[in-house]
Amino acid sequence: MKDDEALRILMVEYQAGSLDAFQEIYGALASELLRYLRYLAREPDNADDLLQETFLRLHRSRAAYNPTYAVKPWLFGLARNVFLMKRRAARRFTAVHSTSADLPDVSVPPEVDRLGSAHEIRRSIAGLAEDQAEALLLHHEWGFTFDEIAGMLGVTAVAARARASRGMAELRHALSQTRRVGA
Amino acid sequence: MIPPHDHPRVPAALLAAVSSDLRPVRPSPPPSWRAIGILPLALAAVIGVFYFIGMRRDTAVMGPVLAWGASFLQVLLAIALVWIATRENTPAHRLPKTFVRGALVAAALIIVGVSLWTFHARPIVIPARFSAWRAAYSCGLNSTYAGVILVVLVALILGRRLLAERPALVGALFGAGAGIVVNAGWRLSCPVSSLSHALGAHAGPILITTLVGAAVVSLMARVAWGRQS
Repeated sequence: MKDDEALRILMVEYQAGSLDAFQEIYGALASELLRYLRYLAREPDNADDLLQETFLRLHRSRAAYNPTYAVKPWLFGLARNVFLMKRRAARRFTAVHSTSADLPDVSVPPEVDRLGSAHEIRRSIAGLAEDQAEALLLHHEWGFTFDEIAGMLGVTAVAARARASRGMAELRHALSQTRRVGA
Repeated sequence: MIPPHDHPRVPAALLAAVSSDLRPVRPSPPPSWRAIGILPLALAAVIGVFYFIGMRRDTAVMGPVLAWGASFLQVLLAIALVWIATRENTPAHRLPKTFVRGALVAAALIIVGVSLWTFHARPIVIPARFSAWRAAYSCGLNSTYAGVILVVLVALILGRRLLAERPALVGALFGAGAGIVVNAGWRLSCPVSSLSHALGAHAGPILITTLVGAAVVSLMARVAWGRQS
């Protein structure tokens, strides 16, 4: 994973017309973006399409990027917008998010990896409130700061931290309940 | 750093689309500069109102603070709303929803406050021999026309690359800004300051331009997203 300074330089080169820079940006961020889109869409096939649309959108709007922006949050924010616009167009919000059996395709946050199996943890994450789960994963899984999460979600940094913190508490509680039932 | 051969490959269709258009582009300025860039257009709109409608004769009696200061405050308020809209249109740079709602409420309070202040200082009502409805209709309709032209221009200038999650909100903020700019000029052209006229015929069009802005930018987003998919 490249650091953001290297990504900014690549974005500037890409804006200047470098195909190599675009390929490097894709190579550096596509995997993480795909996992984020899989988490949002809960459908692997759909996420692949969304990833391509995100990069196509990036290409068509590459002039909208300013080199003062951190690349990774900007691109994740763009991916989120692509997902939401598509979801709005498809009017499938309820169908996608009410399916509790769907598990987000994310790795397990290290803070809870001893509290249950990967499957149990993923299922518990899927059971969290949508806003809490997203803030939790953006912070613990993709490493965004609360200021960056605030800019992506349109909330204050304090609210972003509170959502992630409540999500983690809920997750711990859900996992302890699961273990109690299992024992 | 991951060695290049471990990188995910760009799919062929995406690579072809990108390769077909790699002309250099100039990076967009940050939201604050884009909002400030609208200032000349806002001032031109205010001057345009003076040019077409003329200025009220009692601006000297009103004093510079109430006459020019309040209108300048409104122009700054409009620029602030446009700045919020451009932030909303920049991925990962959105402002908190509470801040956006607070700004809209503050804008409404400032417009009402300026109207009250003006009426308190210069309580001029429509003379009995004139129809209040006709005066309201004339001011309201012309303010709305001016506001709609301005919001469409702002949307075309700042909304070309729509990346907002909520385009209607971006448009509503553009529309509120455009309406407030027109109101800043109109209050210095129309001599009537009665609250029913100032709030109904001058401030009312701000609501209309807000709705028009939301509709225009939503439509632009729908066209842009439709074109992509």
